Amino acid sequence: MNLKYKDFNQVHPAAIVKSISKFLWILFIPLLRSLTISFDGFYYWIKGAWLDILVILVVLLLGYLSWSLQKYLQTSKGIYFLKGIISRKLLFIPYDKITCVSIEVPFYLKPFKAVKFKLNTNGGGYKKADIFMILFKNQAEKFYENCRVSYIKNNKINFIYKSSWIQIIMLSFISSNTIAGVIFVFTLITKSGNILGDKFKTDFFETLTKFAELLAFGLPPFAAILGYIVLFGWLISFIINVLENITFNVKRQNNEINIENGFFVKKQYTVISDKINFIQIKQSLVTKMLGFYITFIHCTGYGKSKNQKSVIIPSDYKNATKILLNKLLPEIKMCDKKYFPQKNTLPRFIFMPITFVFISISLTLLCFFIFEKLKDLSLFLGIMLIIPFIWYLIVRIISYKHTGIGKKNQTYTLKYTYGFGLFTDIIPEKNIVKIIFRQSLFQKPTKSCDIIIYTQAEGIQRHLVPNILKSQAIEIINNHKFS
Amino acid sequence: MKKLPKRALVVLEIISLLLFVLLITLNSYMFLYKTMFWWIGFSLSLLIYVFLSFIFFPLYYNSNKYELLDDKIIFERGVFSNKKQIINLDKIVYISIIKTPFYYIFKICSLEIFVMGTKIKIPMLDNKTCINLSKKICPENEF
Repeated sequence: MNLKYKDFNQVHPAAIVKSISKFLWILFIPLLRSLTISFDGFYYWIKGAWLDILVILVVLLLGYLSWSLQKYLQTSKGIYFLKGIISRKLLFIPYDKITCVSIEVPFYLKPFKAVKFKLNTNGGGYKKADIFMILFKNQAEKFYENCRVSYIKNNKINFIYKSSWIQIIMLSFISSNTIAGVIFVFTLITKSGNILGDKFKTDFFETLTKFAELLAFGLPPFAAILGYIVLFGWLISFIINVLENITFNVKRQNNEINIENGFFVKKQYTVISDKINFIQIKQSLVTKMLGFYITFIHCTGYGKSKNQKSVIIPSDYKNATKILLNKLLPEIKMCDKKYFPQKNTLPRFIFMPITFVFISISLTLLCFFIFEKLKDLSLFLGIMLIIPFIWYLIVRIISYKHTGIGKKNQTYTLKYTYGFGLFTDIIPEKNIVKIIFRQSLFQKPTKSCDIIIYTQAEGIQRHLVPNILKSQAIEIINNHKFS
Repeated sequence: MKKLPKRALVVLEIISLLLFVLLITLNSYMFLYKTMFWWIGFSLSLLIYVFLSFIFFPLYYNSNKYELLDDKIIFERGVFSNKKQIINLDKIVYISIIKTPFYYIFKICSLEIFVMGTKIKIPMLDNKTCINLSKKICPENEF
């Protein structure tokens, strides 16, 4: 072996805290002891306290050992990472396999000049980075620079994009737990409370009721509390999202895309452009009415952290999004759809939502006439039940116009809906791993089928484009080249 | 297809013996010597040791096989249900070598190969074989 242990570098001491947390389960021993002897009194507990102290010392020692034995080494060809106490693991990752490198600077690590460094490849797990270290800021910057220098190619493209206030607010507004859903729940709770409020007042809620009466403004207090909790929760989510994206900016340099965002925790991601699996443009019914598009990129490592979304363009109008994408990612270009559902497939799009609406109306009328004492409640709940299905029906009608497939210069553009969302996926041909045609009995008369495309991504991503003519689907597969 | 080194079987037998000792110790700690529960615990420990040492681990040792071809690596394992994994060398993302305390006595280590979506682990290889395999799979490394 040419590697020498002394050449490896040590990670930041702040990583000891993380190392200790891995062994906290050992504290189960003193906990068990305290539970078994709690009946015998304080004297018996203190007599055996030496064991508790010993366990805590063992936890601290193991944490320290885990930190001191965690090292890394950068060479001209790749990165070595060494970890483990009893079972020692030595990892080697070549530079050309790296998909995303990120640096996070949480506020609690700033006084210690420490940063969180994460490195991702296509071979790692879904939720964890392949390499995660807490490093000194200058160590991380040097590491970061060495990673970048190793894979810079000749195609120089420089472009910087910074989102505006309106775009950030739009993104936060839309991504904060679906405003439409929140308003719906708020209305449901408050109106239900209006009908049932008196029946649900008990001694347990009296104190709470007195307090809530101050803020109720005529509504039943318990319903007002729940409603305010929901709204307050959304507001917190909205504020966090705004602060998270307030410094959002994207820079294209050579074959890297550098993305920065974060307020309390500053984050910097570097994504390699040819490691991007596909681009996804998402709309909901609300954003469709407003004309906004939110654009995401799927690349292993970016968007992996908790509450992190893999956004590249927070929100913008259609033409602006196209122009920005051409500048940031000219290798992956969107095209118009060539294959789309025929007119005779419209019933297939709207059959299910119409059925649900019909069933909801029938149930509502049934309850209205059967339960005479609960007429108001039946009517109200029925209307609340019908609204989402009508919303879904509208989405499905739009879906008929939206759905389709296009291909240009070895890049597919897939347009489809999933749930209440309208998606446009731009996928390079080389990233497609499997194509499935699926035709049900009901599709045979219309000579159409569903095309399901699987792409390599973090895990496997599935894109379903429904009701395409079978002859067109065959044309797609004949022109496709699997790599 | 190549098998694991014979030292791997020795390591497995040592593990089963250590497990037996641990079970006996726990049994003596939990139950009074030569009571009914003690004998039940002792019998169960012995049964587990016999099963592992004479049935399971020999079968496990024989079932683990690997082969490195020009463009792929094949790894076969499984005692009760046989599993064969074939991975193209150009789909390999990165590798790692794992050394347990047994490495320092028997010079055996495990090789982990990471590909998109999964990983395979070839356990208890001879140290030289492990390094040679890693060099062929991922030539840039300096293990």
